[in-house]
Amino acid sequence: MPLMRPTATNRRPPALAGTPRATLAARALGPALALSCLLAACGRADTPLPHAADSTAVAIALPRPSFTLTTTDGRPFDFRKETAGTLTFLLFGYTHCPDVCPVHLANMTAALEKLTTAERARTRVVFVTVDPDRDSATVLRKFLNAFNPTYVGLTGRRSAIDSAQKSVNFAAAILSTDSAGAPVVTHSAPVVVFTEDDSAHVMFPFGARQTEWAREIPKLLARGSAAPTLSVERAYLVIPIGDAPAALYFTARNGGSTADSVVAVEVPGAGVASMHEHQHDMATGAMRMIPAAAYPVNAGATMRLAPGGAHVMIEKPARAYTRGERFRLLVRFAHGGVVTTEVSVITYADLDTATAAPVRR
Amino acid sequence: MQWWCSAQGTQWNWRWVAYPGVWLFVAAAIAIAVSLVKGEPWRRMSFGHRAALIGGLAALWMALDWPLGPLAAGYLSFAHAIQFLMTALLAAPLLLYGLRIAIIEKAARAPWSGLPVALGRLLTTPLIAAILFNVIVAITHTPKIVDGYMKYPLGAFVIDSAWLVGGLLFWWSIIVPVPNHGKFQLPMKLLYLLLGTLFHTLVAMILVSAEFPLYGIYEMAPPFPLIDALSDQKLAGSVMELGGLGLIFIAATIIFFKWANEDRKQVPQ
Repeated sequence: MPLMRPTATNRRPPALAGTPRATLAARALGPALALSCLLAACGRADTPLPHAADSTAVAIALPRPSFTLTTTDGRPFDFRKETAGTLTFLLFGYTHCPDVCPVHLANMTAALEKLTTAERARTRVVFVTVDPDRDSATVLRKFLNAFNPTYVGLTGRRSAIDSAQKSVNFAAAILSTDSAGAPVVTHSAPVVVFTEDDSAHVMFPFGARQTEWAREIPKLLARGSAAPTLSVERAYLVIPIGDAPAALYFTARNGGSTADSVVAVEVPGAGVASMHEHQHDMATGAMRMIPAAAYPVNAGATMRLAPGGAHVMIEKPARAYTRGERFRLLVRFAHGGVVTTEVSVITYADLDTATAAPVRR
Repeated sequence: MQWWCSAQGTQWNWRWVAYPGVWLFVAAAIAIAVSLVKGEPWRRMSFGHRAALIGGLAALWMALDWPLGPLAAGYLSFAHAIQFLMTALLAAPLLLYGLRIAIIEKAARAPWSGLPVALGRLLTTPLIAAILFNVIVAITHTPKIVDGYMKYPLGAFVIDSAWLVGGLLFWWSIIVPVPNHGKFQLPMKLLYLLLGTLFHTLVAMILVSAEFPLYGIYEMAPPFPLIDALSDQKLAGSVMELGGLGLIFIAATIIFFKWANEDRKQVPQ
């Protein structure tokens, strides 16, 4: 069950793929989070323009990554550390980009300029060049100053920049030349927005209009300052015997005043996850497993997945699991967004201990 | 190669581009004009009428062809506004003024009849023409229409043609007295000009006062030097408002002095 999908209200324009101003080739890059990224080969355009849509935002779930690059004044910049707790707009591009990068930046900037000074102080814009050979610190600074002198411009070695892109599940930019020998830079165009909870819940592909930015940014600011009411804890995966699917369990807690439900689960890099529950077959008297569309979590209640009941199945484990290892679990709620937690890998022998542990209330 | 200027999404450059559809369109307009004025009408036409006809054809060509055509189709909202003014409020009245004598003579020589003529009479009735013009202006400036149509040559052609047709209908009853609407005299004509550009003014005001760019085509266009999308839109509104008012004012002045001149001739010396 894919965790990242355009929401009902935030749909990507259908014609955005193969888009314009940057031959936006919408490609599922298939990285760890199966993040749908849009690649932009800037400066080339032989396809029709996109149909303008009201909203282009794509829901994602991503923790604020850690990478260190160099600012335009030569200072090392630890992205996670320096932007922690702020509404951060991260985008990758290059200053010679004739269309996507400047248009995306201009539209975002126009909306940011509508914020109050106090709101503006809670935001950071970080632009990472994917073309460090041509984008010197001076060139990069001059480019960003045209939008806002406070924007952070980052550069570094190509390998470090590639790693930074991969940290947000973007494919590394491809630098090539066209038949005439002109440079062509193909890069992921979306702006990844990290909220003040140090997670990215949404990204804006190229095509996001100023009205959309202006509508969404205050929501993102509000989201960051709100106290989290949903939590997921005590997640564990039981190592399967033989080729059987692995079962994963967790406890979801809703501390809010309105009901919510778990609608999707993803275990990046660990396999394909699907939600199931057990149902009593009245005819045979046996228990049978059926897919579950959602796990309801009432207001103030706790929903516990446990052996013999609701569970997440990793049908095709991506690798062999080792007892004691830990990996990331992403749980999407219908209304509350994505909650990230860690899964512990245990064996059947550990089950009693794992299920007996008290749930924090 | 594109046959008509439409939004391309490529970065603008000043390299000339051929638009054969525009040439055919203008050639067709020239052919129609020539068929109407050839022979006697041309000889009877004053310098002013001839200049207006040639000027109208030239304005139409300049409005549709490179560079204004492609700039208006996919880069600058204010170029789009200039194109609108040149097509509907400049080329259309100039063409009608240039063809005025030819049309009157042809109508006098062989009174027209048939369904197309009846339809023409209906559409050029001042009230109907004013409504049609306003509807065309409103629809062709709706963001969904502009964003949806301007990216295709056929869509851009439809919008450009609608402006010309709308302009011809609007100006017909002012410039060409065929059929003769007896009661449609000076005060009515001035009122007609004012009311006829109601939506035009409204569109201009919306463009000037909008907080964000309204048209995705221009907002998402590769940036044009020295102007951002919102400033471009405000400039477009200003161009529409001031340019439109200017042209309407010129037309109103001409009508007024023409009427005053005729009135003076009728006064016994």
